[in-house]
Amino acid sequence: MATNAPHEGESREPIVAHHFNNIRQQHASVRFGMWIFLVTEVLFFGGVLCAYAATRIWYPKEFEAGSTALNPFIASINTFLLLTSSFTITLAIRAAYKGQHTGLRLWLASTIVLGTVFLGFKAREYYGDYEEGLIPGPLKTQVDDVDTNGKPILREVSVFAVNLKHVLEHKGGKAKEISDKMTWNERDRTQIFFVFYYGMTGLHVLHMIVGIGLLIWQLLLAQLGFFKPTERFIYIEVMSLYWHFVDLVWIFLFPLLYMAGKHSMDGIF
Amino acid sequence: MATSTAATENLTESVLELDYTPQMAPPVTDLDGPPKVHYLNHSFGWLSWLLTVDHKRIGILYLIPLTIFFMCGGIAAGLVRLNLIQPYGAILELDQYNKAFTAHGTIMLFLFLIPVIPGVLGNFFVPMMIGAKDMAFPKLNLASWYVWMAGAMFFIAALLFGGLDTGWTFYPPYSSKYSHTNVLAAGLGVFITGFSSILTGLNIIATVHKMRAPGMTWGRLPLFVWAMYATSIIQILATPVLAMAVCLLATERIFQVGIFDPTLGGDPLLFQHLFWYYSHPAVYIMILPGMGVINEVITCFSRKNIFGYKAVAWSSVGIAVVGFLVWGHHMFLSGQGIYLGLVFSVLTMLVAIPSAVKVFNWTATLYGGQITYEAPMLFVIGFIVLFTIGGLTGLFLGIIGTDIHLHDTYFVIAHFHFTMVGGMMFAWQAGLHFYWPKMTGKMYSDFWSRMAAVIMLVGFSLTFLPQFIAGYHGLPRRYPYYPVEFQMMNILSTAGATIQGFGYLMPAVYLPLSLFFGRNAGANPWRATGLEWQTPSPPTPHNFEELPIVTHAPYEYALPSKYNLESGHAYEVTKGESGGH
Amino acid sequence: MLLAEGLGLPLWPERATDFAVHYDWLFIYVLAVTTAAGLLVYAGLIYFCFRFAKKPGGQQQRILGSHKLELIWTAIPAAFFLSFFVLSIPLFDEVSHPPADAPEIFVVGKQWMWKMQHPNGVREINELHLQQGTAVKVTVTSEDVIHNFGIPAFRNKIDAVPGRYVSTWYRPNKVGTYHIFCDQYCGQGHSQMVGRVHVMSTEDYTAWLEGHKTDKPGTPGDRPTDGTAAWHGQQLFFKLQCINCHNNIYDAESPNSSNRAPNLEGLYGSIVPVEGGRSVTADTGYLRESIRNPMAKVHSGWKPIMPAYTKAQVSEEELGQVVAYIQYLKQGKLPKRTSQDAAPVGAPNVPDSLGEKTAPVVPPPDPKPAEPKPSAPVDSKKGGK
Repeated sequence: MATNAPHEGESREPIVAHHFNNIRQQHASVRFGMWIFLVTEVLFFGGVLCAYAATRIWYPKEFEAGSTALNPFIASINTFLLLTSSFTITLAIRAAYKGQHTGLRLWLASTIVLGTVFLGFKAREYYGDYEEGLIPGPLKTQVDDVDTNGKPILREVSVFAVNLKHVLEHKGGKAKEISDKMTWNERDRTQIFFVFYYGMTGLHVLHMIVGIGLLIWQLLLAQLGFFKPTERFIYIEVMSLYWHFVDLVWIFLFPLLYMAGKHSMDGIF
Repeated sequence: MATSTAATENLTESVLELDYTPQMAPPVTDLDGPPKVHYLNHSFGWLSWLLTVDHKRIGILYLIPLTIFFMCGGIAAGLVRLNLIQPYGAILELDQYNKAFTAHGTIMLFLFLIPVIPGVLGNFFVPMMIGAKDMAFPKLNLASWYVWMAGAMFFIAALLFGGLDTGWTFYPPYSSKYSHTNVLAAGLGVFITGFSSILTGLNIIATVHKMRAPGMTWGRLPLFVWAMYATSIIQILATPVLAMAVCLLATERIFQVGIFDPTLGGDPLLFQHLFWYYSHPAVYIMILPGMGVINEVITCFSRKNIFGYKAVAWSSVGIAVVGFLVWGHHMFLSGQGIYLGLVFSVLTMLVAIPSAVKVFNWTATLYGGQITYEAPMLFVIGFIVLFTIGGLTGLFLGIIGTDIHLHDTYFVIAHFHFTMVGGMMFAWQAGLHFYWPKMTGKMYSDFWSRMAAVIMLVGFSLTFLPQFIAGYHGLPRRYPYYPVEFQMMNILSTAGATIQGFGYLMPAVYLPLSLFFGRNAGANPWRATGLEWQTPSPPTPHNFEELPIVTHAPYEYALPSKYNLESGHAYEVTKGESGGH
Repeated sequence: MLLAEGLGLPLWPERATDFAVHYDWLFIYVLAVTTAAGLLVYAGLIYFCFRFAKKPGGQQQRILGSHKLELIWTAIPAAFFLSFFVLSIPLFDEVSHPPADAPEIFVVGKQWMWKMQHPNGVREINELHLQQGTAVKVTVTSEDVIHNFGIPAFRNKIDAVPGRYVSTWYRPNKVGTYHIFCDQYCGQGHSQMVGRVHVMSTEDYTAWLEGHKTDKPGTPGDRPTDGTAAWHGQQLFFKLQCINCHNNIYDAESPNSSNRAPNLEGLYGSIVPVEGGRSVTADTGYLRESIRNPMAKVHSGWKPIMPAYTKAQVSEEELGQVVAYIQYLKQGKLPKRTSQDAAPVGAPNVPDSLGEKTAPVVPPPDPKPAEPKPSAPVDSKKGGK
């Protein structure tokens, strides 16, 4: 990974690590290694996407309802932020390649800022979900319901289901329509969607945090003049590969999670 | 991918100097003692080991805990076998038995078989075989050792404090809901060690692609490197899915939402699909490096080229690729669907072919050789004998019709051990004995090592052959109590296991003793070709003082060279079929 | 296998079904081929090891390989492997398709016992009595974790997966007592989840039945005799108030009329059109799914109003009984909603209690029993399952 760099170096010699024969071999290895790593990442997310796909096919209504309960506004802003950060990190490679150290630091810093703002918004969104009580869990409560005869009964449902009902009804419009059509069992089962929501976005956030950590590390290195020899642009480049990948994951998550409600047949006509 | 340029060279016409070292460097001979500075003595102290980025030292770092884990797993196996000498359990309670066989399975698979050859021999010899000074990412290499140790510690802690009773397969809903043992901690351990496995695989792929010495074309790679390459591909493509399956399992266990549990709306077969998507290729992660070692050893001790280099190399890759498509043969009876079962069955028949080709090619390699029977060669012969049985009995389980009765019986246990112990464990012993002089510079006892090979072979056969019979009579696996008519078979097995255990203890004694009392091995005690033997024993810190240049395909034992000291007469060159190497 | 004799095991394991014999032939074929292949490798190995052992002054040959040989030893194993596969297809086909008329035994695995239920209502735990020469269909499921119902003497086993129904069948032909094993690890008592299957001659079997039954065995599936699975199912059908919607009252005014849900008479085995334009066969799997998760496949034309019945409400065993009852429900078999009192176990034959003699008033039995249609007129919003 990117931290494979030798730390200090006056002369040009240590730019090439001891076990490489020349700079081209080193560049090729570093780049290749990152691509392989990304392949494993694709497989990692592939596993959860398979599970997501299977579950969504089993429970389309629950996924529609869960997706409708989310806040697509914050997610849209976040998409914009993340795409912009992909652009800035690309500019950082260019700066490193051309030896423009001020530019490099500027673009690295802006990437970090954009990523951090993304995380801030994401935290706000999680907090909103928490306030609305959309947290899956074993807590139960009782609600008034009618049995098949129309006789009023008390039914034990999860707290989550009640919260979901409130959220959807509060949103009104189509969300309320969806909510009205659901049974309590379905509301209970919408927890599966939320497990995927928290799981997948959580993994993505984890990757973001790792990425921002590495970016800060690189910014420090840039401050110390590590990237003065332009050959070291490769570390910015592989960093950007990783960052683009994290971006790409989000591009998949956004429609899968936030737009799953927009695909029902009702919505099309 | 680069194809072999060596194939186009006409090696049969001219006699070539078999010297991989550049011309200016004087060849290292056996007459030279160990070098003054080598990788073991160029720095001292704990930190010089724990912070090393030298691939050779990291290989040794893997060797020590791996040996300990093997012993842990072996003790668990011993408990299981001892308990089974009586039909109602000799020494263990039901729970203890379940924990013991789970500990045996999980430790041996996740902490021994998967990392052993990639961790020790892969780390140590892949860079040397391709003429590199180190792995492509030395720091990552060390990091992956730490990650592995962390995961292993988690795992061992989970097993020690409370244990685990799900079997190594972690099938829900048992693991997600009904088991009261440390599923989460053990799952975390598997997750972390899996991450290490990914990083090691990544490192080896990058090394093989980018670090080869000049002239080391794909067609000249030693077959061990090919096998490690195929293994690494599986590691990076399959392990992430296991990690995700374990994550989902943990999610279900913590939050009690239905992903796999049918009462909550999930499907237990989903886990089995995800799990076997990893775990079937994982058995190839375990066996492929072993097969790679066999190529190195069998050519050396029969003094021959490998029979059909390309066939052996591509069969490794073929196993890796087709191995991804056969996971469903573990689920024939789980209600996954008849047609799905048929597809998986026919693909399983396909994946059996490359393994068969390898066995035939190894046997054919012996033809026309000058075979000697040092310990590594005895292990290789044991490997071929046992792996043939293991592979052929695998057919019974891969055929959808015959699996109906044999599924989850002792037949499966016997088959699996024939491939994993008879195959992998013997290959590991062969590799360890073959490379021990190179790794340590010392030679071990010839007599005791040969005895160990024979004792292991006898003990192993006695342990597992009766299990085929018990399995065909229907004895299910994982039974602490069993019908009394199976007792004799179990007693035979336990007797065999005792002999086998004794066999495994022998190298644990004479190999360390050789460090103190063994004679100096010299640079190339086996007169082997291959770049790793062109360095002194133990190798110097950077392996090669100068960049080696490779001019030949591997295993050119039949050509005269300065290492073929004993063949003083006119060499006779038999023309092979063209393009066969 | 010879080794087995005298070591506690018989020379060759018992075979108590025709399938076991077919199975063994395939096994013997594979065994013969693999043994031959193994011996070939061993012969080569031993010969080469002696013939080419190092001799003083010996010289090895330089052989790089032979495409011709490699082709041969790729193609011949491949051909044999494919022959194994092809020969195993009929075997798997045989085991997966029970004869159509075979009575169904319902097996529920549970930590750590097997509960068997015969179609005539006899229930057993860890014991299974079968009649020699009579085919039975065995449908297996589990209440908790995954089990596996295996009978080595029948060369048959099948996973018991919670939430799924899987079927196999046996036609035992040899009187005797054989092992039942749980082959899928299921926890602490895994090895005690064993049982016995008793294959009995017709006379013995009849005598055994006499001891267990209070009613003469009727034709299977003809009517729910006291104590049968379908009989229990009928009681549940009332208890769970299925009858409130799934009835044959075609009165648009009544809240409990068949407007709300399809009449289940003759449903089993028919083709059901479901929402989304597809159609499914109403087999046991579909029935079961429709009770556990009614919204999965909604009968098109009906409102999705059926509540789901979780395991807490209906156990696997009970679910099997309800499904057995729905299978029994031929046209005109549905009782009146008021006849809630099913006959107690052991009561003499009271056919009336089962609603057969009280034929449904409105409408007369549909001439085409295989087509369960929403008979009530449907308005724009249609009715439920």
